[in-house]
Parts: sequence; structure tokens; C-alpha cells
Amino acid sequence: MTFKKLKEISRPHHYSLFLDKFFPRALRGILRKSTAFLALISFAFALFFNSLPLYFDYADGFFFLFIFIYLLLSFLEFFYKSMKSDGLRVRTEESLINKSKSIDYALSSILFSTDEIDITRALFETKIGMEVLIRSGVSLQNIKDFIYSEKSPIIASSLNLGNDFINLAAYAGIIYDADKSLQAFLSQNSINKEEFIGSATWVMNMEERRLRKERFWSRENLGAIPSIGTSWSYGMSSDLGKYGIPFENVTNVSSLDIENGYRDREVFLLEGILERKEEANAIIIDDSEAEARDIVGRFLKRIKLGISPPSIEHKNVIELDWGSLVASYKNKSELEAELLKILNQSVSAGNIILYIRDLSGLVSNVKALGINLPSLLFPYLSSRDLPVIASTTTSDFHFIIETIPTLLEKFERIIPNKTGAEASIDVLLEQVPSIERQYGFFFSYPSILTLANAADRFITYGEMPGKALDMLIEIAPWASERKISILRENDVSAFVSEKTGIDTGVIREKEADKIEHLEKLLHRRIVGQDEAVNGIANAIRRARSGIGNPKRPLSSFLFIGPTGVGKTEVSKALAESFFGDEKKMIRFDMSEYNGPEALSQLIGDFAMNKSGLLASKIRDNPYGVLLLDEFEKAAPDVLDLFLQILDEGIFTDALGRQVGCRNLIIIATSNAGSSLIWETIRSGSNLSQSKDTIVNAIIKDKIFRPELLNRFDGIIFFHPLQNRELESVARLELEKLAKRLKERNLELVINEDAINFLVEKGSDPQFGGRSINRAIQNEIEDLIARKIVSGEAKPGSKIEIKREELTK
Amino acid sequence: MSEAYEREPFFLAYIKWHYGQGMKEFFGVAGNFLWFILHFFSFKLLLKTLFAPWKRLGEHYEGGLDISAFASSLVVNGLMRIVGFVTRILVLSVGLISFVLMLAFSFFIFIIWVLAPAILLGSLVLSATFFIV
Repeated sequence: MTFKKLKEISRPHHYSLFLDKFFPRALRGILRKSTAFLALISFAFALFFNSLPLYFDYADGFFFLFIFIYLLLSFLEFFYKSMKSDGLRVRTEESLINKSKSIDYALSSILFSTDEIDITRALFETKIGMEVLIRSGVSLQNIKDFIYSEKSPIIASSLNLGNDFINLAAYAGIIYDADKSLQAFLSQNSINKEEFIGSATWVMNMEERRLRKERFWSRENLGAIPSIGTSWSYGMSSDLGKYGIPFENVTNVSSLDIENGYRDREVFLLEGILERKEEANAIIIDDSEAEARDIVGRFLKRIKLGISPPSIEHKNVIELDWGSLVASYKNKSELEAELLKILNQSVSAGNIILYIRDLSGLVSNVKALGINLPSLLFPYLSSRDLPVIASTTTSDFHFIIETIPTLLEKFERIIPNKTGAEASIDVLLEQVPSIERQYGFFFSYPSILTLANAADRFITYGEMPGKALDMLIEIAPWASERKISILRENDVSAFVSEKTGIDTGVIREKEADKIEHLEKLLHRRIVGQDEAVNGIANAIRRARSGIGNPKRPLSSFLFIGPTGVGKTEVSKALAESFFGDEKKMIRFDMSEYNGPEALSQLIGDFAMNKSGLLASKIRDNPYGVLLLDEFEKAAPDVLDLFLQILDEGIFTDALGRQVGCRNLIIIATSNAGSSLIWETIRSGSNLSQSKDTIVNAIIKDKIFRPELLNRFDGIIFFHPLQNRELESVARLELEKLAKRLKERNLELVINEDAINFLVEKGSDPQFGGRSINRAIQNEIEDLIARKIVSGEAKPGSKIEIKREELTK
Repeated sequence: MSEAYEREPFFLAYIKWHYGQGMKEFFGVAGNFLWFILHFFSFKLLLKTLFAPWKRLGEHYEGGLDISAFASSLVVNGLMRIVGFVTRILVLSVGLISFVLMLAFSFFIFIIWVLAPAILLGSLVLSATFFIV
């Protein structure tokens, strides 16, 4: 298709655009209304004063003149609207089913004013083009600088338009592909093609919706006016009134967009179930109740718009407020009678679909009072008179509903599909306009993308899109407090960092510096172990630069080496330098998990409805280092669990909840093969060269299976500390002691005697560096304590330790 | 877009629209408003439930040979059905009147639409006559 042809297709729109340009709509409106008014006035004058000897004959003249103008303007307006709306006759069904048309009005308005010599400039000089850029997150000043900058213009005839149906988003994509300077400008503003086209699609859809709302004569808008008399053939239910809340009063149904295809599968399933002649009951199983509400809300919106199947027409969804109901009746028989009354009245009303939130909760709550709810509900659930929609969480469904066959067989299950970040974007966009109106700022399209991705990745509790929607609601007052006018990607990153304590966004200068010199930072606490430190630093750089696999843990390492060589210290240092706090570390001593109960201790027990330690700790601290000490001692089924965690960064606990480990750096430590390491060092050969031999020996001894070892990002060997390193460790530890003594106004002189003594102690192959700590505690601290007690060391004095004072 | 108005001057395109596409659309819009009246007054539902008791109120007769209970429920239920019938008939009549009015109005507009050139010209001529004469 040529540009000329495209313009021709948009020609009918041009008449309305032409009118708007030379005879603005507002002016037309005022003129039309005032001529109608003046026509009436002159008609009245002509009618009442005609018999008087005055020159009121002019009134008749004016009347006809005004009628002429009024009719002319009215016909013009009809023509305008017809051309603008692609025909005045827009019906609900047509607009919902048949969305394809030649061209959208937004694009036509751009083409109408497009200068064919520089189409990029022409695009962004229009209001809509400008809005696309603003929604992409570009600042107004940058837009102006770009539009009026010197660049080689793209001529309309050079565009490759293709033959397919074209709309604003497709047109924006074509211009993006054609104009290199636009690409460069957008990438300078960190906007890629997908984000740019996404913004155009968003703007286009908003325009489309606005236009559709304007067409008050369409069946869609006329049909939305509620009819009278629909409830007259249905009964009244006074008690349901007290404990039943119309669903639309507690959930904002009007903001839901039923045309974006979101949750269509579930809504159609629900409609299918409720259309049945009997046992028309559905249970929505999802860990987030908001999901169930969303599905019921969309289902209800279809009823309100009159596009649901005939058997569901005119029905009302009423939510049973069982919280207040149970709280109001403490007595079994009273509550039972009340429940029966409510159910009977719902049946006699005839148009009620009962929504019971958290059915399992209701069952167990009334069970405490001795009421057997399943048998109470049974006749209603089997009948054709009262359709019920219930919701429950996955674990409650397995625990409670599945154990009650009478309940289980009456409900048809709906398990909502899990949505990823991408599918959640439409749902977020649905909510944006009302939030924008409430808080008075704009969201850019990339900010919504970032928000969806961040919620998916960094919020470990809840499901998508619920957690993304929660975040959208939380970010609004946050942005409004900071007087942000357009929310951009980096604002969302800042918000996520504040909320979760994890840096997610663009790497800032200070942080970049930190990451670049991570080795140096780690070496502040770790003596030697260059290979380990380099390996870790490289992995961290990969993770922060965003090239790591997002579907796995941030990084995972297996540290192999004898005890006391700094394995745990490296983990702590990593927690401190990467997550900003040494305490961001979950530590498990895996030697405690080697029995048959180990797995259930870690992931929970279904039969006892007990949550697992690993699951709950990770859920509480989803960002940090997970340290698994003495990994080789864990039970084989625990090792199998970690096979999955290391591979997918996620596991399911015994209660069926998913636990995300994708924001963790997982470090497993092991002494396996340490005798081989010692031998290698003693024989004077290079540890890194003997690595394969040691790993093979570990596999041969069946300590770890090869597939488990392969899952780690790196197997890092820690060599025993050499004298030089032991010296540094001794000095480091003594400095810590000196610092503590300084708080008591005592000065510890760190001398060679003390250091040499500690190095001697630290050369113990069994305990490594750890024996230095023990020696400080047992020998040096004891000695200082004796000196303090005896009065030899007074506040303000210096303490010097001599070799002969220390035990051999 | 059902018809393309390729390169036609505004006035010509308008005339073509007025007696072609515009006329079709006029019927469509009039149809929409008539549909709205039927929808707003719930014609289908009210006719289907014309004799149903008002808001499902009434007494349930348990059976047996209790003449007074039978009579009482007969009276109450009959009364509720009458109340329902009367209300529905009232609403249906208002609806019907609105429908007829809308039909008449649509017809009136249709006449204006068809005779538009004559009416426009006529009003201009009449207006001029009053000023001149």
C-alpha cells in the first residue's frame, strides 16, 4: 500500500477533521443551541405579538432564518458524526465482535495534517503523536528539542506500509523502522521499539474508547441504562439484604474492560456452568481472592451490558457477608435458622446468584458452632433454583472441600490460568485511568511494563496480576507525595527498591562503582581465596547487568574446602556488599536435615497443615543469601529438592504454595574432599589444576550426584590458609578485639608476638582460621581479663602482649 | 467504512451521504432508540411474567382440606397477581405510548430528512419574504 492509498482510505474521516479544523466543534455546538433558542423566541414573538401594530413581522422572518441555520448545522453535525464514527449505527454486538475496520480515527487525524516531506515531525506535531511520546516517558522539552532538531527528513512516499490493515500502532512502528534518528532519540531516552509501539497502542485504545463513549445513540450506551421492572417478577429478600451485599457495591465492576480478552476463558467457563439447569455451582480456586472477584466482576459486567446468555439475563450477584453473619449469631440453632432463611429467600427471589467468598472459611467457622454446612447447603446446591459461586484457596480446597464429598461433587471447579507479567499489562492499563484521575499524575507505558515485571519478579507472595495491581495502587500515593507528574521507569525502580530493599533499576554510578570493585570490597573481609572471590564477583556482575537468566536464582555456588577457610565469611561479605546488610542471610545447617523427616521440616507437612521452615524463611526474606552449611550431610530427598530450586528458582511447599527463590544467592558449603585438598596443597601442586580430580572423587564417593553439581553456577574451591593469610586473619581479628577494648578506653598494641602465636594456633588443619578465633578467646582475652582484674591494665593504659605470657 | 468518498468536494460528498449512507444510518439510529424503549420498559420480560405475582409475594397453600386456608391463599395470591398485572400493564402502556411517540418522531424527522433541500430553501425564501415585504 502506498502512502497516497492510505490517505485515500482515511478520506471519509477527513471531512470531520476538516470541519473540526475550520469550524471547531465547540463553536458549532454553541451556535446550534443558540439558533434553536432564538428560533423559539422569535416564534413566540410572532405568535403572541402578531396582532399588535408593531413591526413584529420581522419575528417571522427571524424565525425562518434561525430554523434554516439550525437545520443546516444539525445536518452538518449528523454528517460529521457519521463520518467520524464509521457510521452512526454502532451496536453493542457489532462493536464487540467485529473489531476490524479500515483505519482508526486517531491515525486519520494524523494523516490529515501530515506534511509528506517530514512525516516524523508531522506525526509528533499532532496532539495524538505528542501523547504517544509522552506516554513513552519522554519529557516535553526533549520532545520539542527532537522535533525541531536538524535531521534528515523521511518522505512519505519512502514508507513501506505493507498491505495489511493499518492502525496508529502499526503506523508508529513503520515510522520507527524508517527513521533512524527517531530510533536514536528513543534509545537515548531508554525506550525500545516494543515500548514505543505499546504506548501508541495504548493511546489508540484510549481514543477509541473515548469515541465510543461519545456515541450516545449506540446500543452499547443506550443499553447500559438500567431497565425498569426487571426485578418485579423476582422476590424480595429482607434478610439477605442485611447479610447480602450487591457484588457491584464491593467491587468496582465499571472499570473492568471486558473486551481486552483478559480472563475470557474463565468467564465463559463460569457462564457455561451457571447456564445449567441444575447444580449450577462453581468454585474458583485461587490463592488470591482478588482473582475470583475479578472473574465474577467480568461475568457480572456482561450481565449488566445485556450480552450474557439468556438464562442468566437480569440476574444479580449477591455476596454473602458471612463474617458479620457468623459474628451476629453465637447460638447454633439461631445461626442455622438464619442461614436457612437467607438461602430460602434467595431461592424465592429467583434472580440471585450467591457469591460465597472463602467457602472453606465459612465451613470451618460454622463447624466450630456445630453446624454441618455441607449437609445444610446440599439441597440448595442440587436444586435448579440457587446458583452459587464460591471461592477458596488451593490449600483450603485440598484440605477442606476435597474432604467433603457432598460439597465437592456439587461444585464445578474453575482454576484460573496463571498469568505472567505480559498478560497482566492489559489489566493494569484498565485501572490506570481511574488512578490517574484520582491522583493527578500520568503513567508512562514503560513504567507499567516495569511495574508488572518488578511485581512478578520481586514480590514473592501472591499471584499475578493481583500483586501487580496491589503495587499499582501502592505506587500512586507514593508518586503523588513526591509530586511526580509523569511516572517513569526509574521511578518505579526507586519505589521497588524502597519497598523491597533490593536494587532493581538502572545501575547507578555509585552502585556501578561498587559492583565494579566487588573483589576489593569482598577482600576487606576475606583474606586470600582469590579464585572464590573472583568467581563470585563475576557472577554478581552478570546478575546485576540483567543478562542472567531471570527464571533461576540470582546465582548459586557450591563452596568446597576445609573448615575455617572463610566459606561462611564470604557468604556474609556477599550479603553485606550485595544486599547492603550482613543480616540479609538465611542460614541452614543441613546436617540437621538428614533424617526421614527432613523434607517435611523444610517444606512443611500437608497432613498436619504445617508450614515448612525453608518455605517460611524464604517467604519472609525473599532477597538475600541462602547459606546451606554442610550441604553434603542433607538427606537425599532434600538434595533432590535443591535440584529443582537451583534449576527453576522456585518450589512448591507441602501446602501447595509456590515459593520463589529467584532473588536469592544460594550458597552451599561442603567439607567433602577436604582431605584431598589438604593432600594437594601438601604435595605442593596447584589446587585449580586438581579441581577435576577432586570433583570426580566427590562423585565417585557418591557424596553429590553429578546432576546436582551441574546445577550450580560455580563450584568454588577454598584452599587451606597459608601462613601469610593466617597472619592477615590474626591481624584482622586482633583489630576487632582492639576496637572493642577501645570502647573501654584501653589500647591494645598489636605486635608480632601475638600474631605469631595466633598463626601457630591457626595452622591446625582440622579447624583452619576458626582456631584463631578460639585462641583469641581462650588465650588473649583471658590474659587481658586477668590484667584488668589485677589492675595492671587501667583505663587509658596500653596493653601489650608478650610471647612468654601466652601458653605454649 | 461502508462507502468511500474519494476526492469529492465537501458539498457533493454531503449530498451523496444525505440520500445514501446517511439515510441508512438514520434508520439504524431510529431503530436503536426504538430498541432502547423496548429494552428500558422490559417489554419482553414484563409480557412473559404479566400474570406473575408481585415480587413473588403470596401464601403457600399446604394442601389438605382446610377450606379457610385454601380460600385465604387463593385471595392473597390472586391479589398479588392482580397487583403485578396492573403495575406491569401500567408500565407497558407508558412504554407503548413512548414507543408510538418515538415512532412518530422518527417519521417526522424522516420527512424533514427527505425534504431537507425543500425545507432549507423554503425557510430561506420565507425568511427573505418577511424581511422584504
